[in-house]
Amino acid sequence: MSFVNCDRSIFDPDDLMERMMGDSVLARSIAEIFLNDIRNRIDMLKDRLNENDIRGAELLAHSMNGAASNMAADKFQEIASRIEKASRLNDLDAAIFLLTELEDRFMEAEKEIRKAIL
Amino acid sequence: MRILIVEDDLSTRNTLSSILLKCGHEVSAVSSGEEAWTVIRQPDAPRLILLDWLMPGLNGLDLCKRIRSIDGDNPFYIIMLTVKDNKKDIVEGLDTGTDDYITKPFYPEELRARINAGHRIIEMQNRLLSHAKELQNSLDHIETLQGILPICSFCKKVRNDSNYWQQVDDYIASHTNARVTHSICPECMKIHYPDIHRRINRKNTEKADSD
Repeated sequence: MSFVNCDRSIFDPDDLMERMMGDSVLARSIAEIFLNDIRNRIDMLKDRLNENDIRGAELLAHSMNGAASNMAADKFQEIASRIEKASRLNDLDAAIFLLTELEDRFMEAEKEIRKAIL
Repeated sequence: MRILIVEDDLSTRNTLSSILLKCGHEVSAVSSGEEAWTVIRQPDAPRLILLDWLMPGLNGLDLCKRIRSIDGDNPFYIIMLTVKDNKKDIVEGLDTGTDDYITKPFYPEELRARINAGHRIIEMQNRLLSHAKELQNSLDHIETLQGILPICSFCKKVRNDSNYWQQVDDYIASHTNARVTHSICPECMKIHYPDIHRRINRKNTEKADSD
């Protein structure tokens, strides 16, 4: 498989394929799960932050951070990691401020993932 | 190898399950520490656990402490799998009782190699446990043989471990590897078979004279 037109700073399909042992069917299946799950988790994260549940927000951001790292979606991972850190430091304002960027990075990642493997 | 995956993130859980199944392992996957605890307390629980650290509810570190509190002769092999990658976290994870540590993002080759290392340890543990049990059985056996044997002063029956009186030959046959054959000693021969005893004696005397 070759992924010529992919922006690897957003999503690195070669890295994902290596993690999936070269199995493109598995990569597609995991990508679908990732996109659906993260969409739900972003909504849940908004709810947690609106409810001032900073520990809940930290756990959600942490889980998105881990999922994005395995999906090789680096820019999305970076923002998830920043929200996780802000939440750990009880900085609710910083976490809320980063939400819009998280959504933007997710849309960007989804576009690249769909273009490359779905 | 049977493996329990404890991971709250759906895509990571599915990735792990798929990769481990591809590697020929048998996989159970749960999404929380509480679910994992239920599985772990079953007598036939998988002995190797891949455990995420940060999860809502019972987190990986606390679950690891709980597991170590119930570990018996055959302890679980726990691999912590987490985004937490600084030295302090790794030391804390290992100090709490995890056997190995993998940071996310993980690569299948590293995962496979670490699972195999865990498998070797579990196999070695099982072999040691089996040898220890064999040794214990042998020791118990020796203790029984070396213990005081109650024997009836008149009929010479022996009281066994279940408080039943057994013939001496039955007792020996059931408690040792010895095979019992029946014969008659000269004194008993004289009492119970005097004619045969006399004949044997006579033959022995004649043989001694001719020599």
